[in-house]
Amino acid sequence: MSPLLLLDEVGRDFGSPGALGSWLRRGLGHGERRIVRAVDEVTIAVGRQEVVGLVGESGCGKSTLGRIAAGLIAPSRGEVRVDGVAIAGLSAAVRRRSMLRVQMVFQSATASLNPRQTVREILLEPLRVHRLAPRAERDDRVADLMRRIGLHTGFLSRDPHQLSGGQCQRIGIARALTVAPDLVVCDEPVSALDVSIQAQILNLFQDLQESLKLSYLFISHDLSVVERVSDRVAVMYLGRIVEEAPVASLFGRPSHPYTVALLAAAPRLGAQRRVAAVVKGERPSPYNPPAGCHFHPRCPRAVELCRRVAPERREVAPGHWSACHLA
Amino acid sequence: MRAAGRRLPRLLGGDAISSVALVLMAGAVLLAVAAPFVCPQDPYDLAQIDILDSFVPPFSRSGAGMLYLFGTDDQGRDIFSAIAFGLRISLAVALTATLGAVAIGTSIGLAAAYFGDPLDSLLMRIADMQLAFPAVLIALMLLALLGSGSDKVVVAIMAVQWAAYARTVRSVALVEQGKEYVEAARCLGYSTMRVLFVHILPNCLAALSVVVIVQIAAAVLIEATLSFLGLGVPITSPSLGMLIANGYPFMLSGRFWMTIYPGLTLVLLIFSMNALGERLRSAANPRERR
Repeated sequence: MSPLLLLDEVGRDFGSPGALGSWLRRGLGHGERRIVRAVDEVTIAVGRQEVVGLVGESGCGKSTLGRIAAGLIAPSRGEVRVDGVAIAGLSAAVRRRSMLRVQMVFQSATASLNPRQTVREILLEPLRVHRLAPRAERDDRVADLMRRIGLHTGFLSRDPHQLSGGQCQRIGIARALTVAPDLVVCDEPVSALDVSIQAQILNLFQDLQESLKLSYLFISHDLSVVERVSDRVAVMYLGRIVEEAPVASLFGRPSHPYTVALLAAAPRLGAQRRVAAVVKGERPSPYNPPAGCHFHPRCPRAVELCRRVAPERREVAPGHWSACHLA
Repeated sequence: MRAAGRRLPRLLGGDAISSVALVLMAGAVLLAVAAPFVCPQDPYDLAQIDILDSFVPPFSRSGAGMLYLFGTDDQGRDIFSAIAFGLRISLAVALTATLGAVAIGTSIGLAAAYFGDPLDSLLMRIADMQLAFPAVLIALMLLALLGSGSDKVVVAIMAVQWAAYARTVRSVALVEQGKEYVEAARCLGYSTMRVLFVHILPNCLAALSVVVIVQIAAAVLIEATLSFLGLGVPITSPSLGMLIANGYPFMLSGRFWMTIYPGLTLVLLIFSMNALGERLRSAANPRERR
């Protein structure tokens, strides 16, 4: 059975001018514009009722990948498949309809709500636009959503600026749920919240996943958050997925040197003070990524092969994939 | 609209100049709307004017005892009534033109911001070209092509004013569409029209409203200029600009009132609009709130 969502060899460039643009630039003597490969041929699948965590440092392309998954950014290369059907081949109307099954929750809870709409308008609009419920039932649906996300219906008449960050994020989650999606892409949904609120929102995510049989693509730079919610975790570095494994396997027996470094750098309660500088040097510029394995300039174990050949994904243990020559 | 409601008290409780401006503006609009009911005569109904009362100075009375507050012109028309009817025409032309220019400019600005290059560059370079020439010059050329008349003046003003709205809306929309609520709207499968006009546009209105009021003043001025030059509204329904032009030949023969009073009205109208625009601008900008 095909997975709920499959990103098949997707890549995305930014900064590539159109044909007219590049002709003009050459004519004016500007030379070619520099191109960033934000996402570089990534394959990742999310199954039904599965939570896939996506970790990586800032700028590694994880948000771009999430937006490709949610249909907000078209991939430059590769295919997005929902239930095995390639999205790019569908007509605009059908595509819009089928991408409703993939919704998104954003990092900045406050900015993700239109300041000119009340909470009621925000939650009613998808039902009205897509005629998802008879007029008489819409208010009940909204009330039911409010109950699920744990907010009193009194909040319905509020403006977004009258809500706290956590409340805004709950509304953002409710809005994603209005269209009854199968998969929710969560782009750093708790990073902007207080730690105490983070725990509440994470609990809410887990409750909703069980009661509504949801799948998540859960993007975060916070390893402890990802460890807690995910079934499977993928680690991204400079636009590529370097390691992907079930959560226990990845955190217990990391195979890729980057994952090892990432885990070692994460602070843990009770751990002794360790040497923090596990990885040497700065992250290379994404405009000009290193040849071969992207991680080799900083890798403590790099050998000559790593400088020349980009490693393929290999299964190092059942379900545990790693893109490293030495794994 | 809720935001405008919150801004109104601050507008009213502003400094003395903007309070005076608000009163002047309200008076002008009231006078224009109520002109047929409050004026002592309809200056363009030949049955109501008396040629024997021509060139009467201000504060004189007619044979029937009617007060010529601002005097009369060469035909015996009451200048005060002519000003009220002129205001009516000036404001109607300016407001119609502004409405059209806002609709066109807003759509162009939103489209430029949302669809990006190459449409953005194309539309903005056209707007640059329009803004590079003096507005009156473009309007004059257009009227030379189209001929004169109120409807042509409206078209000409729209043609010289859409670019200011397009630029304003584009710059604000660029900021707004980077916010996540726009992505959320797209993710929920809303149509492009809904994203543009229901989600992005309402969040651009605060900035747009400031430009609108200043541009209405500019529209009144352009119309007055065109009418003064004889290319504007028809002679049967003179606006403020045409009243000024009509009285102009008599200025040096001591009959100043035919030009001075319509001119003063125009100056005060433009002043109050600009002062209000300034006040609205600082009310819309949180950093300038006192």
